[in-house]
Amino acid sequence: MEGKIIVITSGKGGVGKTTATAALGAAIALEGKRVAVVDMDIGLRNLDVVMGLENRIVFNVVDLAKGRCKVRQAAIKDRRIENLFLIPASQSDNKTALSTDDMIRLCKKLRQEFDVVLIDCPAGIEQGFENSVIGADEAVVVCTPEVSAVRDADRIIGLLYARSITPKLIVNRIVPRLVASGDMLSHKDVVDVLSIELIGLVCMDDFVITSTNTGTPVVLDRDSRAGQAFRRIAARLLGNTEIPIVDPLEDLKGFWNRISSKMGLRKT
Amino acid sequence: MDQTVSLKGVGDGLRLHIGVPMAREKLLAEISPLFDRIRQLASGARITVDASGEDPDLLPFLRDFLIREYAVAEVIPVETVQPRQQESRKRQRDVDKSWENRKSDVLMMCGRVRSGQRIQAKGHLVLMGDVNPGGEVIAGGDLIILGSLCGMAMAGQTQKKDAIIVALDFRPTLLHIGQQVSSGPFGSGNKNPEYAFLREDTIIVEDYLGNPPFGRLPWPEFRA
Repeated sequence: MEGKIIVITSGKGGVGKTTATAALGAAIALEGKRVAVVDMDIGLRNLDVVMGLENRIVFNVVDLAKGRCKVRQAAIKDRRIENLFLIPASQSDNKTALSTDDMIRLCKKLRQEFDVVLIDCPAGIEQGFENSVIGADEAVVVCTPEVSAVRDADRIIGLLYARSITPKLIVNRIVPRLVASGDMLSHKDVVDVLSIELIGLVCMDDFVITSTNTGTPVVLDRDSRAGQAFRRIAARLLGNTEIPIVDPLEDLKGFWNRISSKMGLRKT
Repeated sequence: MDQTVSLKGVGDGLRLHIGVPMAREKLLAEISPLFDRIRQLASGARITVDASGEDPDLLPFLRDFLIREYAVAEVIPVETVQPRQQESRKRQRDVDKSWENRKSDVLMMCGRVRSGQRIQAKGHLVLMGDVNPGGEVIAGGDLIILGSLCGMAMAGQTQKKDAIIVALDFRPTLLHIGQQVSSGPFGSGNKNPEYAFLREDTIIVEDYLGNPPFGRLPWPEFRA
């Protein structure tokens, strides 16, 4: 069976595409699928650092696409998770190093070797975006609850629809405390504007920062709320639609309810 | 050419003008060629007779002749038609179907205008859907958004000063009407239908339901 290719994109930079790609790749691999994560941010590679594989890079995605190496030479196996492979970006090349034809050929090769291929799309809507999207079957749009991120995500969604891809939405970096006090957009506001299928809400989580710095997958951490959210999103991406989307605000309310009921302020 | 007798189209009928009183035979000799020329048109038409001189038998005579020879529908004197009846007829027509023969240039769209997308209409634009932040809607006439307007809206491009912009949820980032520009802040922010219009070259935003722009028109009018 041929694998499916999912592009993870956002338009705006710094909303958590790379983190989400690494986390989802790990989570899908933990479900038993053979996964490749491809860093398409050519010239500004990051995904290898986030996954803690930066000192094992020999070949990169440009070499692979140009036919200078085999898939199995370019794919770096993860240290901890079986079935998880990284195809790193080239650091020395330019964003225009690959053409869309190169990418279509590359995607064909990757489809044969892996069950799921996650493509980490660079920010922006130039050649890098075109290349990332051209071979993709599905798209996941990552958006933070900020006006600027919403606008860029909206633009990206329009471009994806124009390429006949129906995108799904992850709202990342939600701070429930700020949402509750009205200082941050709620995920409902974001979904209202973008009006695409929501597949996950991820809270702001300090574990993510430490895990990207140390190169350990956040999904392995049972205490990390973001990690667990990514595991649920991975399951949903694999077609398990029955998993409910957890509203982080409900969690917050629950937390305060628990505290206040313990202190006898509220009847349970 | 002798202009003592003339025939011309007026409203939904024909008007026969007889300038000087004359003998019956001469009159018929004058009238016949006029009606011969438009035999098809005259059939079934209403003929208004505007005759000088006081001849009470003239009208019945003409009526007999014209109905017999040219099958006109009716022949009436000019006095009864002019002031009262024509006025009421006009008013009736305005209320009923003044728009029937008017063509309006309206672009009707549905869906969501996302960031970076633009819809442009030569005439009026109706959008059943939303305009997201960063989206643009541009119309030569009015702009009607049946949804929320959060992007940029331009109405009355480029010179139409009486154009309006209506949205059910009015939160645009930028408005143009005619040559005027306004960047807000707009509206009350409580998700009421509101509309923007020009008053003395300034863009004003008001509640649409509380103060409808065309609420005082006596009857439905064609919006050009």
